[in-house]
Amino acid sequence: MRTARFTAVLIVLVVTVVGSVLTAITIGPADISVRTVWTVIVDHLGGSASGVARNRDHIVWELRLPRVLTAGIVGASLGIIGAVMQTLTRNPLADPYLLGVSSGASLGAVMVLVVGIGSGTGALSIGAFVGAIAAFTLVLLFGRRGRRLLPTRMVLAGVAVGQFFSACMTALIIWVGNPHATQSVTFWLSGSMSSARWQSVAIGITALAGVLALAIWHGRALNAFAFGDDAAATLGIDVDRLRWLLFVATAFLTGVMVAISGAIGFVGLVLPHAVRFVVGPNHHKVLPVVGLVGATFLIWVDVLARTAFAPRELPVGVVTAFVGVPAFIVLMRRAEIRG
Amino acid sequence: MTLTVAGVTWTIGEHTILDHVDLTVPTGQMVALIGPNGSGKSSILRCIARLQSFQHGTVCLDGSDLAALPRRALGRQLALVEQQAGTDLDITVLDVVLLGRTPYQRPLQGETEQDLELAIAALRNVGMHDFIDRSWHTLSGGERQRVHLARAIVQEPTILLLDEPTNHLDAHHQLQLLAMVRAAGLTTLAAIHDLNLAATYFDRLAVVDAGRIHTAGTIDEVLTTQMLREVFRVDATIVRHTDRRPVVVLDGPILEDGQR
Repeated sequence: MRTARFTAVLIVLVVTVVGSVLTAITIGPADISVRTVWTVIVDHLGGSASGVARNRDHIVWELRLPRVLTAGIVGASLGIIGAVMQTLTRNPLADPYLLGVSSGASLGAVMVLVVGIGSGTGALSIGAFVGAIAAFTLVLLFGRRGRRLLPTRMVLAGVAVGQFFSACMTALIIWVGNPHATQSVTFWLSGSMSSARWQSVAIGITALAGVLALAIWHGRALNAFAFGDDAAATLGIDVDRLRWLLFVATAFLTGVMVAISGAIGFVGLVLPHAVRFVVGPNHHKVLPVVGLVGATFLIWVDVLARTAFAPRELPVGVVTAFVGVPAFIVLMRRAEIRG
Repeated sequence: MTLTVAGVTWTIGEHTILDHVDLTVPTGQMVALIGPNGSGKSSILRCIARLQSFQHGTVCLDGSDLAALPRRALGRQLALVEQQAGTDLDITVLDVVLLGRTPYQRPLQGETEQDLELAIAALRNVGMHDFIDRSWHTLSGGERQRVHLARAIVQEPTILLLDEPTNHLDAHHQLQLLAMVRAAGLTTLAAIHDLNLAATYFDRLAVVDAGRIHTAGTIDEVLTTQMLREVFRVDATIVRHTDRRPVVVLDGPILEDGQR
């Protein structure tokens, strides 16, 4: 895809994301008119107090808007992490949770609940983040030889660590018999935007911007992986250094996203493939596009999750699986034809 | 520039893979590494390209040690064409060739006019100009190797390394590829399986046997029935013409005791 056409695609996608945010905040179980929603937004952005009733103002500005923005940030992050992971491991089935991060996060959150350090979503998120990083550190420990990271071994270590952490979590839940713990696990394993606040928006966008900038900076190096490690090395890429840098950065971002919204499957697995299908394999194009597509996708998935069975909420991961599994099967069949 | 490999030794535990390998590739010459399976041809190339670290010895370009170069600078000196490097990605021929410009590009900069010109010229040199927008997956084995050669050419290397580039190619495409390598005019070191291909297209041969250089020199110096018996364990006749390269005719394997 040549530059002019790519620029056009990028503009369309940015407009779509902004449009999705503006539309998604008008949709929700509370009966608030579109006009009221707009008034709240315009007044807050203008810095003046809105004439809208307090509870409605709160719903729009403190709940809906941060929730929609968080969905966008998480979707963008998962797409970008998936694209980078698939390149670094040269595994088309790689996704953000390949390295045991989601089971680590769940165990971390449950431990906070059980031990009862602090309370509220803040403490749980910190627990989830610490658990995610602990799991990833173990995977790094098992997945290397000397100072080299071996992708195949890392994937195997990720599976092993993930299984072990899941087992620990199940044992822990049954041992304490705490119903809150069980609920919390469901949240962290299938994902939800329900705890999203402005704080999660701020933390999420900072982590996303940092990692995206880093990945795009190394976009050319990622392109050089097309024909494998040796080919990348002879094209002047320090393969070991790049793997360390980007594995750690993406695991950190995954940890942040899991702490905000739990583990949401299939976005990071399927979207990078779909995007490469349209814009080709160049990371300077794939990374921004998959970010924008991921944001739009998850904003609408979350709308579906909170409206389909309102007032009950579907876990976001359930909706992405309904969309993602058929896409995944199509992908597998394509891979079979080729391989 | 002259590539000099001096005393390169690579051991894994008790196992010696390369044993004091000394090798010289003079400027503008094409040198073929020949030897039986597992003798260390690929290992020598991997050590030169710094894909494999080794315990002793040096690899130098005109006397300066390649180990001292950062990766990126090394990418401007050496290009490697592997046996069968493939990809799952749906990538076009032009984009594969442009990968060769990686060691010259700044992180956020796109392809320059010059990069594109080099890529198109290289594709023309290997006869793949009409395939420029084709997907990699639609190419035959011979076409893929020619694209890899074009990628190596736009890397503008001082030294071209080839690791059994003609394996899995039919006779026509073997000859075509090596003729194109010759036409590229680069200082070249290649691991070559087929003795007659090595004798036809290369200036010098180096025989690798059990991790050592057995003999090295001109085609006539190296290609002897005695060497073929010792290293390749075959009986052979070498047909020498006045106006063309010698041809090896294989008569049969040398059977060891109990192998009848």
